Amino acid sequence: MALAKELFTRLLAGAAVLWAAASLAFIVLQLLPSDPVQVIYGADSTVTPEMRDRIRADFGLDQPLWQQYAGFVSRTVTGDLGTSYQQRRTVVSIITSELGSTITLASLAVLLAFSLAVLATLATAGRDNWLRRVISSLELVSVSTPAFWIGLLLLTFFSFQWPIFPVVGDQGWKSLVLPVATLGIALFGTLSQVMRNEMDQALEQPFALTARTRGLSLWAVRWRHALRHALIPALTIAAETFGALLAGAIITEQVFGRPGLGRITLQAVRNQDIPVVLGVVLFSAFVFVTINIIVDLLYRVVDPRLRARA
Amino acid sequence: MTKTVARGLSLLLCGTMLAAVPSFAQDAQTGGTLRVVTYEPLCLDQNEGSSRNTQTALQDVYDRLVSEDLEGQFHPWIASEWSISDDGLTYAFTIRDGVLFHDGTALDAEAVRVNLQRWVDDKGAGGVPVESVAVDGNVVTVTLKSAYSPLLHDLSEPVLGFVSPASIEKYSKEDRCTGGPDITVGSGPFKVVARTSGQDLILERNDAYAWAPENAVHDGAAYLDRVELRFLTEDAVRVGAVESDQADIATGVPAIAVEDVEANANLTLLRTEQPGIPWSFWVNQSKPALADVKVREALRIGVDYPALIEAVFLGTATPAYSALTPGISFGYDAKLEGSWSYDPAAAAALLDEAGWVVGSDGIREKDGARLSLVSLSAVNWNNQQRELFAQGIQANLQQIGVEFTREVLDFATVDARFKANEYDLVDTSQSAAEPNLLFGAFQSEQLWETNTNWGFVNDPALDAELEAALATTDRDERIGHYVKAQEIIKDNAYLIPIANPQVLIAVNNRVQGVTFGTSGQVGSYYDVWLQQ
Repeated sequence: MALAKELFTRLLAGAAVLWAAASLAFIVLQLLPSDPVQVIYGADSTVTPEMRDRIRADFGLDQPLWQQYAGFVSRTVTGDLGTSYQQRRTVVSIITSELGSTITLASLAVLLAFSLAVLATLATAGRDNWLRRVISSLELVSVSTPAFWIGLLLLTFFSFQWPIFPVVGDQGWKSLVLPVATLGIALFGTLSQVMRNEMDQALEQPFALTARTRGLSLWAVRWRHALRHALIPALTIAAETFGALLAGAIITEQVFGRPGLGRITLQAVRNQDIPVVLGVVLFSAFVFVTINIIVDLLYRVVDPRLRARA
Repeated sequence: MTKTVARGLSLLLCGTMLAAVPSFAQDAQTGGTLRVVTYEPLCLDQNEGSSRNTQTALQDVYDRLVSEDLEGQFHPWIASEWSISDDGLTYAFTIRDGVLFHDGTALDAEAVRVNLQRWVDDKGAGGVPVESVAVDGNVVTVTLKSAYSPLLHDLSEPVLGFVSPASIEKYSKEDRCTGGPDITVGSGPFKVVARTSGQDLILERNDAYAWAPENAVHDGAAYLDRVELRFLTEDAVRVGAVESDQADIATGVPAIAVEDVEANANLTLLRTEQPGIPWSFWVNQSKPALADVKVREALRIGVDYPALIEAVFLGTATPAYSALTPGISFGYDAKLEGSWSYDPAAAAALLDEAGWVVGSDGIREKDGARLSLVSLSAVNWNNQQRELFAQGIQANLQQIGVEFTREVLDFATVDARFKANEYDLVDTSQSAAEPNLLFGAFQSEQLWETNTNWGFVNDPALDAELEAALATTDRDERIGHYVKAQEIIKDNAYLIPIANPQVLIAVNNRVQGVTFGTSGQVGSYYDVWLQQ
């Protein structure tokens, strides 16, 4: 019962966040000095006043601002995000058609980053040796190197110099390796740093010593007991990770010429394709909210102490 | 009329000269897949959202009424012949028989009319003063409200490629913009077989093709089996792809990669001078400081443009002296070359004469106003080299007591600043094969909103030349008017030309017959073949 109530509160808060994000984005985009007609028409040829009026009417831009806002909100509630100024397609169809490619890229990258981070954490937490210093330096490099540059380096070596992985066209899994590595490496550093920090602390706890005195090996203590502790902060930054993923996807998709949400976002922002920008903002906020709700629920799974309290 | 920016941009590519690797029809081999890495078109319906990228990607999918060569001469294509009335108001095109769209429907006079009418209705005919489009048998007649000599050029452009009316009727705007087989239907030598947005556009030979333009190298179907256009936005990645033989052609090679490409024994670097208006400063004469021709002249001789070009463009641009580039199909005035040279002392003297005295901080002042100039440019007009170049300009101008700042903003913001007249200079280039480009950039009524007279140039003598050139279809007469126009612009420093940009393409040596199109874009793949 408590769980249901909490879930309800969370959903309500989530809806509020979505509404706030949508409204804020709507207002900010209204403040831009641009003339949507110019954006819609492109600067391709002369726009006569009659055409200007027609375009305004077509896109509902001739209505007063509050009406545009009300229309935007009510349409959004029904799942209609409008039509792209530049592609003339509905925003929903643009997002759904690009989403698959980004999900594949992002989930594989998370998997890679997470596996690397777990390995690095298990191998180095609670120790002070050369391996730890090497891995921490790698993490630092990963955190501080722009994904753009990582991507270009990987391409230079593994596609241009030694043609192992193709950069041109979609050739199945082979085309995924370098983009996934680019995005994964960029994520790995933060994740690994946070997890090790937590595991370091866990290993200093009395329970670690107790477990050792029960005869558990050092690895078993790390794997069975301390790793759980390390997972909690990893979960906490999951939403942030999602942000990093979207930002990383923009760059990765750009460098590798992949279809996807990131590429669409960049294009829309660059071209001031307002409906698409709004759509992406809303979609991101939606995912952000969802992830946070799921993470809160997951805490209970990972950390039994929370279940006991609730 | 012919507007401007995007149009300018779309035409970025009209080129002359240096037609690539020589090719001979008798040698040509049939077959093979050509892999091109290039920029992506946003929307595949040219009437809905047309960009240079769309036009270049689809130039082999759609046929046009007439074909323009690099000297600006016209040849029969879908129109087997045409006549122009003496007053230049009526154009009658006889449509060739037996042309079929990829979907099997006929490209007849009625289909031509539907396409032209759609252009008039949806795009206001791109500013062309079209009165009506009519069909009588196999003749399509275009009537104009006033004489407009570049009409044939406009009709020859990829943006006016004929789309199957059946596909327009059958598919929604949304579908047509996304494009794909059966949707993006033309009558050209290649047809669309697959389109993955964000990734590629795959074209396959149209075996039925028997209506090549008269100036094409060969007849009948194209040589290549397939053309794969792969979209890579990053310059370095496109160059890497062609260097590592993952692609046969890379468009948009950056200056910094020229040395590498030229050193590569498997690659040839093709270059052409971009036709149009050079990368230049439009000078806003509505601002008091710049209304004075002495100040404008000082800006022209106060910067060592040739030295900066050498240092920054690394041999991929030449100093510009005219309002047209040497790449324009006709009308370039080569006499203007070398009309001025770097002379900071003379520039300083001109500013002194104009009453601008050096103030305490080294910047000149007059009546309490500082000689501080802001140049505006849009992100999509900019590139790394221009960024670097601007720093050199700033340093040079600082020495003669002029403060210079360059702002590069997104197009919509730039648009707003233009409307509010909040700028001193505009730096960009425009591209088109047609010298009529000058009309939009300098005729007194062509201010922003309709066109690109950012300088508020209002010169009756210049207007007269530009209007006369628009009224006559006689090529020599037109050249005479444009030469005069270029002189007037130079004498009054209405424009400060900086550099003539080049268009660079890296091509694998096994690819034969690559040319440039009239807009300086990579040309049609119809005559291209692969050595096997």
